[in-house]
Amino acid sequence: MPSSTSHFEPAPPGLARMVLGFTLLAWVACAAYTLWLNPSVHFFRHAARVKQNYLAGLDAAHTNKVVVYGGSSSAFAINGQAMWREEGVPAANLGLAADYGALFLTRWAMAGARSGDMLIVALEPGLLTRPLEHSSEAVQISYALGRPGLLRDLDGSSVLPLGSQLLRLRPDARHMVTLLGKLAGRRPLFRYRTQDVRPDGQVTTSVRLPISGPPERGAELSPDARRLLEGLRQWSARHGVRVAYSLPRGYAPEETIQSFRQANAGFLHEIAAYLPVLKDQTLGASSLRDDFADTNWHLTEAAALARSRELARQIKSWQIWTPDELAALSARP
Amino acid sequence: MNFAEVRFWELLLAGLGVIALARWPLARQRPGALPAFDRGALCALGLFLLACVSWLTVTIFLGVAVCSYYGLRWIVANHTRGHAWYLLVLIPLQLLPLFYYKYSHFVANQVLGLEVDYFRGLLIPVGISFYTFQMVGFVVDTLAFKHPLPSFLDFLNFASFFPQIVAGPIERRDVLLPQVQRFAFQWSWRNLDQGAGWIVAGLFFKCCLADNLAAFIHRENTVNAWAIWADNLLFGLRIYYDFAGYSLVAVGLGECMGVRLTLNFLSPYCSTSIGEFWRRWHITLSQWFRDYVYIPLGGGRTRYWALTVAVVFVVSGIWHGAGWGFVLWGALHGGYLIVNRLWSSRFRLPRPAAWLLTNTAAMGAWLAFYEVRSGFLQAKIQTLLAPGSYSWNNLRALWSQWDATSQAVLVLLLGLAGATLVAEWRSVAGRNEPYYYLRRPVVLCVLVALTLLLAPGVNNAFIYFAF
Repeated sequence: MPSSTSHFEPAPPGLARMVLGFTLLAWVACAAYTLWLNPSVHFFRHAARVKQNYLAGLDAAHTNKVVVYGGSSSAFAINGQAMWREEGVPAANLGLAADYGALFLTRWAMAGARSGDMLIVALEPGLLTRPLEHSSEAVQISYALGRPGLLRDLDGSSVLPLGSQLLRLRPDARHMVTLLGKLAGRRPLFRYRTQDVRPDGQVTTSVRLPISGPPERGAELSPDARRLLEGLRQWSARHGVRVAYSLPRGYAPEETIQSFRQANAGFLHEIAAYLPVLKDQTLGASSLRDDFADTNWHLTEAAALARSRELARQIKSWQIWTPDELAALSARP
Repeated sequence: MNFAEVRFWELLLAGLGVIALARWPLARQRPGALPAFDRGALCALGLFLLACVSWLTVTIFLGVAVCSYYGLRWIVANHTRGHAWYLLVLIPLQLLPLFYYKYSHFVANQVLGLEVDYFRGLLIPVGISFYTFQMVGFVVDTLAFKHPLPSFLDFLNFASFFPQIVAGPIERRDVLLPQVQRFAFQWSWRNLDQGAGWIVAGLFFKCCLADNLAAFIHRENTVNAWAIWADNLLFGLRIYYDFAGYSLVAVGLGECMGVRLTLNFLSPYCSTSIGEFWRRWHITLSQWFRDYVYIPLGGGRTRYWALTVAVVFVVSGIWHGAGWGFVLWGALHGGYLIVNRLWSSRFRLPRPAAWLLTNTAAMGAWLAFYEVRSGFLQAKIQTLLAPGSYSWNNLRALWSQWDATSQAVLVLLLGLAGATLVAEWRSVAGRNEPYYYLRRPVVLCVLVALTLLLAPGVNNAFIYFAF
């Protein structure tokens, strides 16, 4: 056995330069794939541009508007055209993907809101109960949109060093294995197609998959989330933007729906300490299996239409839960 | 000082940039001052990087260093005989911060049962177990072999050489001190060529293998023996790739600076006996315990050798962490070694069987290492000993806990881990040069590509930072 202080054979001359050069080339290739070819980034970049265009149209046509944002539950649930056509509420759906995290999604939505607008926070509870670190997906979409500034904190400070951001412009093991599996099986590389994004930014799908529920329950807000909500509250006061929270609707089987609602009421009670909470009597739960498409957060088009109408009515009449009501609901056996 | 974070490399490059800027005019105007400047700059760089971890970390490091050096100087200057008695004072003084930060809560609450909350929130300063042991070794070597005392600057460079200060290798005086005494910033491509392979291999181990494997360790299942063995195996692989990865990057950084560090790992999972395992796993710590604890207690030539082995391994377990699980882990390895020594002269297993037995024992012992919840540990041990929990249904349940993508990722990772273990084994057994095959230029390109394609986007701290 060689000693632990063995003499190492001299490395070939130029090895360091070769390794550095190859690393740089490989990183450039990974970044190019991520920004232009990654199916998920490609889809959401398209969706984001459609949403921005619709938003610009609303800005041109209306003095004030409503901006609804969150993860994919919002992307699927909000029909902005119907909210305007049927309820007279000009609304933009800025929902993207939960993978992007609460901080990125909030920054993205804030950039679309102007003084006098109303911002409806519809972030999934799971996004507000864990630390708000930027995911690789958030870094990738922000660069794909050409807006790395969206990775900053609410106060504009840097959250992730530039070097760490650049190193996240690459795939990972899960992505590679999934991609190779789909290529080998000749399956679509991404479940949703660009045609699934309607002109108002709502995402729809014809895919139907077995669903079991309930999704992640409302739980205690993380310290990061409290900081985010407080920052959002202060920002809204400074910029004249009205902010409220609306819990996304998830599927819960009949036998668990009461406990799911109870947990959600406790979660909303915590939210109410920072933002008004719109009074959705369902408390974010539905046991109608047919209302959901491919996950227990993604509403079908018909269910999204109903949810959008209800949301528009809640906004118009400014129906909000009081903290006492939520406390009572969360304590109910 | 996490080599897997971009921030470390940014800080290192910034520090080296400042040194280069300051060195350039000096080299033109006062070349005679360069040797002193270089050693001073190396020390400043090490302390700067440590201070970037936290002020507490650098303050405690300096406290231990000052205590070690000036305590030793006082002994050397004033007492030519009876050093051992003074060591009985100096070494406990050196160990005091380590004891306070790492063991006070455990001893006060779990050993003495005092229920003191004061020590609960103490954060262990990064690297304290490593640099404390390195300084203790320095003190003993200097007195035992009557070596001259170096300057305080050289001692600081010996103790704070940045590639190895936070997680080893725990270097000996005769290996590292002469190199830092003649240290000079060389800025040569030859040094970078020598270090590049180690750094790439180390980052592949850490970022691609260890960090990906970490996601598969659940630790929650207490009733399925297969799941517990899977956790043991995955943890055993993870901690190896994590720690060996760090050590390889340290060796590579040392080579880039013109300093040769000791290799800490020599394909330990290819061992065919537990004794061989410990000659290949965390080598510098094993050597430290051999030279400063095992041999002074009598070594293997006394009637009480088994007790000595047991003591050494229990202390080694405690070095890794303050908890009964670590004590059990050390005791298990001590027990393995005693049984191995007693039986090796009577039985000789075929090599494949010896390899399987050695690694099954090592993997089994990791359970006591990672499972810090005593109730869970007890339940898992009971499950491992119950034949009924090794059912076919449990095996299927283990596999089906992962979705199809996760299963494919796991198979890929285990394949890569297996391939690297074979490459390491062939490097040592076939070529007598550690990590030879992993440092070939073509293989390095493959490792770079795999790291960029497969490493997860999240950074995990090195496991051994917690020790």
